[in-house]
Amino acid sequence: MQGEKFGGEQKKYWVFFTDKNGVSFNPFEYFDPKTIENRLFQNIPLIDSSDFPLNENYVSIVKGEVDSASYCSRWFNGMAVIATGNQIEKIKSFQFVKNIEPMESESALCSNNKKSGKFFPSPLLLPPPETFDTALSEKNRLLMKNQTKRMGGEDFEKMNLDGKGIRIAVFDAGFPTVDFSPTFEHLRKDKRILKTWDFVKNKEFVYGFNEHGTMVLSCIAGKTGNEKTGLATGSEFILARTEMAQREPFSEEENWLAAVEWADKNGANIISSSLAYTYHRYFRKNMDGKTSLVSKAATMAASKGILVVNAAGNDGNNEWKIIATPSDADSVLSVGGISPGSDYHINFSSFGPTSDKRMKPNVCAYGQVIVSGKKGLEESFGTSFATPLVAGFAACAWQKKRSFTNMELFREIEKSGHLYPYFDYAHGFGIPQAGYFINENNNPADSTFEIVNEKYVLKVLISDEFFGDNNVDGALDSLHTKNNSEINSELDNRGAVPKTDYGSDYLYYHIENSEGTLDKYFVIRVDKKEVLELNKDDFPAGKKLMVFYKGYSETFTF
Amino acid sequence: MKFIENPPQLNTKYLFVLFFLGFFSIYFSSTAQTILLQEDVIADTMPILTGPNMKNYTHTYSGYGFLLGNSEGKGAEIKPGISNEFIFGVRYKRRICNFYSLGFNVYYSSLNFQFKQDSSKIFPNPVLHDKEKLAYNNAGIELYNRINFGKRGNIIGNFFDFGGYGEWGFNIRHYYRDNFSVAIAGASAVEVKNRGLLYTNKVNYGAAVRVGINRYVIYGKYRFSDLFNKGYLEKTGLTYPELPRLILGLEIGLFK
Repeated sequence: MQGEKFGGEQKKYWVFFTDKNGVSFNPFEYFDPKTIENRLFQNIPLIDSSDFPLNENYVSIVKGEVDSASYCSRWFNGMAVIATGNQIEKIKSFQFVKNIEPMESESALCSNNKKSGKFFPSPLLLPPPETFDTALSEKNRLLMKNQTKRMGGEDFEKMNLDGKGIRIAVFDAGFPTVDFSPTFEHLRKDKRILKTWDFVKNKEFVYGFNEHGTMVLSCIAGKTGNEKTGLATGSEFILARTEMAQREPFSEEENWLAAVEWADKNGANIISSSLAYTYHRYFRKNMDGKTSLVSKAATMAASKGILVVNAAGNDGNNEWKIIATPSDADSVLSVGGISPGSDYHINFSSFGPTSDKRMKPNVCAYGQVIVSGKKGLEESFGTSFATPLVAGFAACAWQKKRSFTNMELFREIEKSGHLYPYFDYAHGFGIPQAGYFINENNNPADSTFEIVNEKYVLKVLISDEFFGDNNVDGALDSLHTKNNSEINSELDNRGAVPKTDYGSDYLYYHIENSEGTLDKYFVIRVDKKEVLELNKDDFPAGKKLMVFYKGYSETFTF
Repeated sequence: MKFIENPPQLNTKYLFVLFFLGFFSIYFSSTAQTILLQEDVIADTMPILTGPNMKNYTHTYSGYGFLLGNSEGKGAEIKPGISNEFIFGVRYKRRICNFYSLGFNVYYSSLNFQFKQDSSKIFPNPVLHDKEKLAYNNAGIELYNRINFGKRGNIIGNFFDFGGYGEWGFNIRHYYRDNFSVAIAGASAVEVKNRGLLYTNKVNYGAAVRVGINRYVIYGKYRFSDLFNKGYLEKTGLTYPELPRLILGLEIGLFK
């Protein structure tokens, strides 16, 4: 507490209460039927004290002491107030007050595209729908196709899996043109945007302000003509404006919490959020999944049966470097970014692990995509866009495996990663693959290399049939990565990306210590059959080497 | 007819060099990896020990301010707007806790008092010029307290500073310029710089405050000391009015 030290200055605080004594709750009145269905489906109790409203007496007493009160959180049994230090001192003395925390935060949307940070104040200023520009260069049209194809989107499509029956909540900074853009016509036509709420302005209208949310939504469910920019074109949506992209110092964390509770109340199965809090409020050591309010809220949402998908962050190439909160929370599916050109980590995508050394991000997807903005289709960058791609993927996977709980789905999405069981802190388990959910029989891939244990060195030798381009076609058919080579070949042939490497020709390896966390990890290009040689003296007993190449992984313990 | 030439003699030194070059190029081409991504997790997850909200932090800054108010008496009215101060300095901050820090600034400042030229002028004499100023080149030091507001991470954040400063004028000059309507000796103007001014104090001191959000700062300085040397003025019977004491300006922290 520091505010009370400084006289009469007004600040924003969370006031948490000790109990909810004397409060009653009827879930059938409070929740949307979809929430009831979700909870029954996942054996989550309908009546839980965290869903009960706050004690009205406590709320009114505190309201009487402060200048203004805004949001009440059922989950955390607290309310947000604006008060002076002296007022807070008085509130602290109430027996029903558990503790008080000052609130102040700044967040960042995980987009690297400066254009998406533009303020768009009024729908009246938006361009008419007939000016929507769908023209794309050949390179970008291919990129648009591949941003879903790289996840095996065609496999979902063949099975008519488009996220139908799954309700997705999208939290962002505004959704201009979603109410008339041709990209979202299918959603409007079927009335599948069920609810909207602007938590910044406390009103229903969200179709103005920053276009970042529009771009994000297009990566979940966008469809322009017959071309999809996201996989979950059949899902239902609830849209929440929680952010002011121009940095709003007080309310965003509160808004995010309010939106999560709102999403739960309104039956969301999945939350897609591209929010990231980093150094403005926190230190690296705070990225432990337990410190920030948003990570606590995300964890709570997961406990209510919601799959929370959040951007890892775009700090990979600056000093902060590691993931942001709430992606640090254990139950949040944290999504990193992949470069479509190289098919491995895109430079700005934040790295794991968490400060308590848990693996993050969990999975990854393209961090360079084609989105539908306010004026038309355009290219954009950021883990902000990898996140909705995975959220859309998750909706299709959940439609297919409807019996899964949220956390079962979480684990299965990880397992569907193209690197699984290999992982590292840049890619997690890799890019989720639809084939994993479609094919009942996911046999392990054939051995593609051999680890040779010699007296002083350990060598990794690529098997003859998996070395070089000539064997790629047939050999990769059974692997998760089968599309990778095709995609990159296409990109390469059309000059979409610099003529570099095919993702399937990369060898990934990591060194794991006895505590189960990684010391180092690498991605190397396979230029020769004897691709890796490690001096055994450099690795104490107990350390493990794990190698991944073309769908096959193997571990060696020193 | 065909001449048979002697074959060229190969120097054994060159042979050795060629052999080693060939060996190393083959060796390295066969063992080198093309590393596309390499991360050392231990290094990546080391706590960040430096930065704006760590125990010790030093950064440079630059500022520009304006002299506000009037002189304390008639005869030395300054021109507002162009009477100004430029500062460049180094700021050290020692974090005591999340909301309180101590620190000091070491800086250079260029302070200019530009004088109005009217009949009431007495400083430093009643002679009117086209342009006239008293200019200081100061070396300064300031000790300050910092109060930070709000919970924050490794950023400067929102703050209020208050402290005291001392400045030593290592180069003080009185400057004036007169433009000639008719060129004199081939010159259209004359500029005069008077140094070693006996009527000024070399050392000045005062209070400073700042309000800032990260790198952006509004600063104010109030000079307690008198610019003019009282002893000298008494001895000579001069009565210069004290010049404005208040400076208000903007500062930018020069850090990432």
